Amino acid sequence: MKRFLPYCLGFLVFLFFSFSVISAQDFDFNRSFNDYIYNYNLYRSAHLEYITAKSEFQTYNTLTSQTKALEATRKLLQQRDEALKTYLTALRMKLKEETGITSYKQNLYFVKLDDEVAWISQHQSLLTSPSTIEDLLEQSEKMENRYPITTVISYQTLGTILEGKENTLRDEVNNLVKLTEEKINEIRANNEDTTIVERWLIEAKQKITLSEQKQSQAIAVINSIEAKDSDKAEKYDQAKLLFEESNQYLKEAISFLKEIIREVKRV
Amino acid sequence: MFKQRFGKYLIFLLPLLILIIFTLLLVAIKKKLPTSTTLSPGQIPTPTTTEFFLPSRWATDAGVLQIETGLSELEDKLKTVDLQEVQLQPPILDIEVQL
Repeated sequence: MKRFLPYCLGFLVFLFFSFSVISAQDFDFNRSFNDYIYNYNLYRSAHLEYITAKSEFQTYNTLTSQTKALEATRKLLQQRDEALKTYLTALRMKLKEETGITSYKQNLYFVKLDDEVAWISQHQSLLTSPSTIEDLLEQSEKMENRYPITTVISYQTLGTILEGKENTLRDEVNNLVKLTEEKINEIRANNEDTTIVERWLIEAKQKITLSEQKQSQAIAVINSIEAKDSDKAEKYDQAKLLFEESNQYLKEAISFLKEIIREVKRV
Repeated sequence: MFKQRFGKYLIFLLPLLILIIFTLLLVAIKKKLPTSTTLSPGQIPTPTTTEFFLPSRWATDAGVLQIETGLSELEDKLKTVDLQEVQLQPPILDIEVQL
């Protein structure tokens, strides 16, 4: 019996690690996004309770209403931290699943997001101890000061996700341009006139360059967002518009390539 | 006697028969003709885009067909890509909590 004991232990260790790996694999963007939505709804409920308790406290100013307000505020702050934490985790998972981003940039934002989540977790732990309203409000103020930095990181991560999507699509367009160019070279090698399609190919390539330029402008706008800015959302919208223009140029490049193929197929 | 009477009736009935046949013919012709040749506002005829051309020897080339398929697939991807990510916008939170 003792002979089998190491094997049994080994098997149990194997099972444990297998379950860990499986559960880690299950945690994807969809799961993290659902977590965020769930926690955001809890935050909204907590906010409603806080508004009611605050109103009662301001009206009656009794010890009972004060205790109720203290608890409602504590719950609100805890739930606010949780909603923000799960939001940043969902953002991280989205960034992780996006393939068109350079690993350097991806790691840079992983570190930034992880720092934010760590700060929020630490802040959340401090919310259990305050016994007075003043202490709670002091903790809330800490978050108030930190939130602009968190928002900048959120917008920059979102911008990086959009950049990744555009990069993936542009890579595919470039690949098709390369294939078309090779085919034109093959046709020319067969002593056929390819002057027109070669000129069209240059125009298709120009569209890709324009797309890159628009994307660079979008990234510049995203990078210009600062914590002190009051128009962070507007700047992000402006960048989104530039990403869409970049996408439009890719569509035009595809349209040109389709015309080239149509021309190649006819005598 | 009978022949004379029949001939009389025929003289009266014949124009009437011709008139009925003529009217029926007119109705039949009118049914075949389109009632109106003008389009109502908002109705735009579909342009005929069918273009006939002689295919080159590259029309059936595997490489050309592969590029063509790739272009169609990529065109769909470019049309459907989500460059808004509305769901991932930072949440609206009450940051300035006061009592």
